[in-house]
Amino acid sequence: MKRLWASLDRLSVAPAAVTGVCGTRALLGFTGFMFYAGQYSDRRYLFGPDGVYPWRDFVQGLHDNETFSLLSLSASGLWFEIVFHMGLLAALAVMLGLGGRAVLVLHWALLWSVFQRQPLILDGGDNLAYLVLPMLLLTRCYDRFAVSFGLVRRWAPRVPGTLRAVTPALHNLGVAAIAAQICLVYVVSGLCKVQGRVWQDGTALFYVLRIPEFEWPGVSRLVYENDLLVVAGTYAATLFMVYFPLGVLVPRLRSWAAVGSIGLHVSIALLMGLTGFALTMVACDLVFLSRGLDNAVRAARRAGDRVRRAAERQLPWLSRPVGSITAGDAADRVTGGPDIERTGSTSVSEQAGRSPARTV
Amino acid sequence: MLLVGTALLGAYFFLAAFSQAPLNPEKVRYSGTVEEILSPYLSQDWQLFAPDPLADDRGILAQAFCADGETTAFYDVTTPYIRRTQNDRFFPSRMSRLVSTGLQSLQNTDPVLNRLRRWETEQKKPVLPPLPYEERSRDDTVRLLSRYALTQMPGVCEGRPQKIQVRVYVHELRPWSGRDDPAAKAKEPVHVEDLGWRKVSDLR
Repeated sequence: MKRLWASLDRLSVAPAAVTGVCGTRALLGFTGFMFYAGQYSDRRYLFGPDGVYPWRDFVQGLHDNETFSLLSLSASGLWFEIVFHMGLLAALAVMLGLGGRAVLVLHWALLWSVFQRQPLILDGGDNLAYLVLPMLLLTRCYDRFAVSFGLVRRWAPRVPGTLRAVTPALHNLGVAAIAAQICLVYVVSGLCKVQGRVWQDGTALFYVLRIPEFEWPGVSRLVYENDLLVVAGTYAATLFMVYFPLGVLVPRLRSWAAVGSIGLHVSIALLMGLTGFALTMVACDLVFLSRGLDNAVRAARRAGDRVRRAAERQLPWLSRPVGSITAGDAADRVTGGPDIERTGSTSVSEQAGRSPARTV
Repeated sequence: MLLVGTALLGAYFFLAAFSQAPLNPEKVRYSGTVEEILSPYLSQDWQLFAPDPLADDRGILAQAFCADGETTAFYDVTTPYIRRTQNDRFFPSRMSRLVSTGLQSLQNTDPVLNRLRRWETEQKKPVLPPLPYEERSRDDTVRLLSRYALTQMPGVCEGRPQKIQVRVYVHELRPWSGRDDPAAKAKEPVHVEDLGWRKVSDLR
């Protein structure tokens, strides 16, 4: 019992997987942005007031489902263009980490509005995105990989103490929700596959990869004409999905499970052209790879430093501090991290003076 | 705070998992209530190509009835977008899904009714006819497919067609057992179903 309370105490004060969840936010923003960009040339046909889905059916559908779409507020083409382009920009802002949670809410509302306008083109990735975006609101998903103007640091003292005290607990709840959601996706999908005849026979890939809509001409054939690849791929995908939650429950296997999942979805993206779906799944997997992401960022920073030092040796004029920014500042702008809050407004020359060896 | 949050989260995941469970007596009894709670913002479907993935090439053709009384040949209004999807691997356009998902929703129905009709067919009993809401849903889908087809044939009947008819085709690809048999490719059957004519004035 003591251990349980100790664990609860820890979860109440120490935010977990911050870098991972920031990666989730950035990648979901990118996927959202690409959803708009991918349909840009067909936007009026798919989502416009005179589009292929009749306006009358659209409004009736909203009424039947007791939901909303900002697009239904007006049947004018101008309003549609405003909403669509606002969605595009909101997704971009979420990717870059601009605007905080308010923009995250706006992104969700705009994406939902567009999804409701054309439900026929949606897939599991879109379904996962609209479930996970509200969960991200609970988390500190803007601590890393975000462009910062120092507003958070300026406004932080105005946040009530009670709210600040519960922030880690809410963050951890949000992370747990995303983790549980992705596990549910895998288990349900895996168990459904176990019940299917062609999945049991180990031939499902043979059938799926030949469907013209998912075929990569010239490449899919190399997979579905190879018996071993078909059987191994079908069984590996099914077993992986069923056992994924066990993999992430064991800390030593967690990273491997997440890396395996990313591999599976990169294959789906390439072979089946389901890029949006695959990247949404990968985005959610990142909550299990927070430590790996931290290490990758540190390694990238060290590599950047090495390159910079080598460049300075070859081109000494590069190390002049005037009109430049520090290397640490540049790295923090990319990675976020506590330094950005502490030294974000420190002048360039001050930082350069403090650490001349790190200037570019 | 953490305990309350965990309890709410637990309740949500219990309902979400329940909604994804296979058909069972409890699901038949409570699925309506659960769907009412989850729908629309928390509704989900994670079958993802399971249990039985699509295994054939499906699409639609369309023909028009012109003002001069002529009926045109069938136009392929599916393949152009399939080609476009195949040629773009990175976030391809989703236009092709209008047809593929539309065709799936022509056949989608309640899983309980599905099972009942399968049982009736096996027992060689009269099969339950489509219920009013199933007919309505099918009618909406046919209208959508016809409207899509109309927009894909802008020059047909010199731009003034009177009626549109959609033909659904299902090209059965050879099964695993026939993968190495060149003769099996030639024998891949194609099934067609002609949907009802739709007046263009009702589609615009």
